[in-house]
Amino acid sequence: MGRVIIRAVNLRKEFSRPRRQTGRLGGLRTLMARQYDITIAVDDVSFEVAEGELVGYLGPNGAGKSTTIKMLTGILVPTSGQVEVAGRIPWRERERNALDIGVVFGQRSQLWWDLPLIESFKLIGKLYRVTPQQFVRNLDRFTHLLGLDAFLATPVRQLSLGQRMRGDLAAVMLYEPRILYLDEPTVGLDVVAKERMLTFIAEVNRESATTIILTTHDLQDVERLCRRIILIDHGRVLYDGPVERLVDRYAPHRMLVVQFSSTAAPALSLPPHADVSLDKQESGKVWIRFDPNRVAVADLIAAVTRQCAVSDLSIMEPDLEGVVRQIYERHHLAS
Amino acid sequence: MSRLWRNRRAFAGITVVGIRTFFTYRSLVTFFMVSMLLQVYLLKVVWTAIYGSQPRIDGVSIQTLIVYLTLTNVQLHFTFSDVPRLVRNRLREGQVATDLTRPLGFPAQLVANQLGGTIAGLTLLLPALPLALFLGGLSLPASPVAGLLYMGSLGLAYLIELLIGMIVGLIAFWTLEIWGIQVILGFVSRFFSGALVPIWLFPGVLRKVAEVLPFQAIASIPASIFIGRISGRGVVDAIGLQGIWIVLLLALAAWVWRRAQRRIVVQGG
Repeated sequence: MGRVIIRAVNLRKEFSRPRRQTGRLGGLRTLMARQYDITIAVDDVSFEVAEGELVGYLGPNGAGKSTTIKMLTGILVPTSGQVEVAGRIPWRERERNALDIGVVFGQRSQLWWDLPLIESFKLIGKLYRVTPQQFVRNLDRFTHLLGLDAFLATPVRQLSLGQRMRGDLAAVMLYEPRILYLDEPTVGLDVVAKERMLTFIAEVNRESATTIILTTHDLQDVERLCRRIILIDHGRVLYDGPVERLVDRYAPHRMLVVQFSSTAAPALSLPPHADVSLDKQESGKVWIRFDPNRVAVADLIAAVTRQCAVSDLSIMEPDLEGVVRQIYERHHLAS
Repeated sequence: MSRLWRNRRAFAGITVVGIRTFFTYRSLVTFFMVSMLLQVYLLKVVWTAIYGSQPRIDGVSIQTLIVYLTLTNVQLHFTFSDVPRLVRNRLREGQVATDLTRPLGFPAQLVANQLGGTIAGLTLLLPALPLALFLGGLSLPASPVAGLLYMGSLGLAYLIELLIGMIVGLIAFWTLEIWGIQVILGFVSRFFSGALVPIWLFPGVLRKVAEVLPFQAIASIPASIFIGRISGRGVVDAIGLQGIWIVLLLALAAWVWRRAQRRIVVQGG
């Protein structure tokens, strides 16, 4: 693992909004009263990212993902705490920091609406001081990788969402930033476009050793791409570590799905064990929940097949989505 | 400054975007131009009627006054700053997030954009000059030196308008909506710039107010130099005043920008 390139320490961001007065002359009173509502978008977030890592930054809507990214990119000034990217404080050296980073927001484009895609690329080249050789080489490479040939001359406003997103990705890669922030890059994309995007992200991370932070609420993206995830909710980090450990820690259970030969499910008596329970039952099928660390699968299967005729058996691994949902639910109950 | 030099290609690039964007708004600008020409014509009619048979009012002949009014109105069209609208739109659409991740500072991007708009605007304004001459009236400057000083003073006027535009635009970082401010400012600046009624004809208090506001430095000062109403020692004072306004507004704009950066809220997540 390389050296630390992104460091956030006790990062916090509050937003204050004037409290809206309702009723007669509400607008005017809003101006005069000067009462503020304070929302804490990010609350005491700390983490480090090493050069070359691909980290999934996960959370439900409004968890504080985008706000964190905006502090890392220098767009927002933190209310308190420190942030350091490639040895710089992003908001203080915003323009210098900009040369090191690429930012793709799924919700908006950094391309120029009225310009053909290729013109936007040329302008990016000028903005980020890309040498002509580097420009030609990268334009070739990414046009090919992302399949942009067909619409290079089309004004950005006429591109489909998938085309535009590919255009946006190519645009940031033209100047080969050390760090890439991808904020919900697959939002609204169809399966094909999404697949293409994910393949590209993986390749960029592997080939150019670009550090990537990917925010998303789509867990499939994360399972595909990231070894490490940071999970946040209500502005706080709930988990930071490898994907597998998250599953082990929060969802140690497996599910044994048994399909009986007859549709009428026979009465089944499970081994009297604290870590085995009947989860669900419907026409000729049962789901048995167990902890593989405590109960041997073979014993469980033997116990079931001894009692009745079974036509099919399978073991279900918990998926990340279920795990994350569980964690959020637990967190919401606790808070 | 050295930073801007390093970013000269970036600056030029954004200027080109400004030029290209202008042409998508060309029909709108044409309407502004038509209303400007109409205003010049109506001012000529009204002021000719006011003058009646008097050869001069306050030492200025009707012919000279018409040149002054034509010039100020054409000038206001030239110096017009589109920065408030630009900032407001970028904020409303949340695009300011992208702007802030560019290696060229946000204020520099605004300047480059406006410069592009001005350059493109000249392609409409220059062909309209003969029309302005026809509907209003133009003449040669009072002297060749006055002509040169006029160009310099017009350049300073452009900077003053640009800085005012920046400050008003940046207010949107607090209020998001600045349309009301733009409407009031549009009226106040037009009136106190002396483009409707020359400032030397304002009654006592109003004239004092006009003299402490920056708007006369945008229209009245350059045009008065052109027609020779301000001359000799007066020119030095007038251009010096423009310089003072630039320094003051520059300091204010820098201060507002520093504070605005802490106020950023990106619309739409």
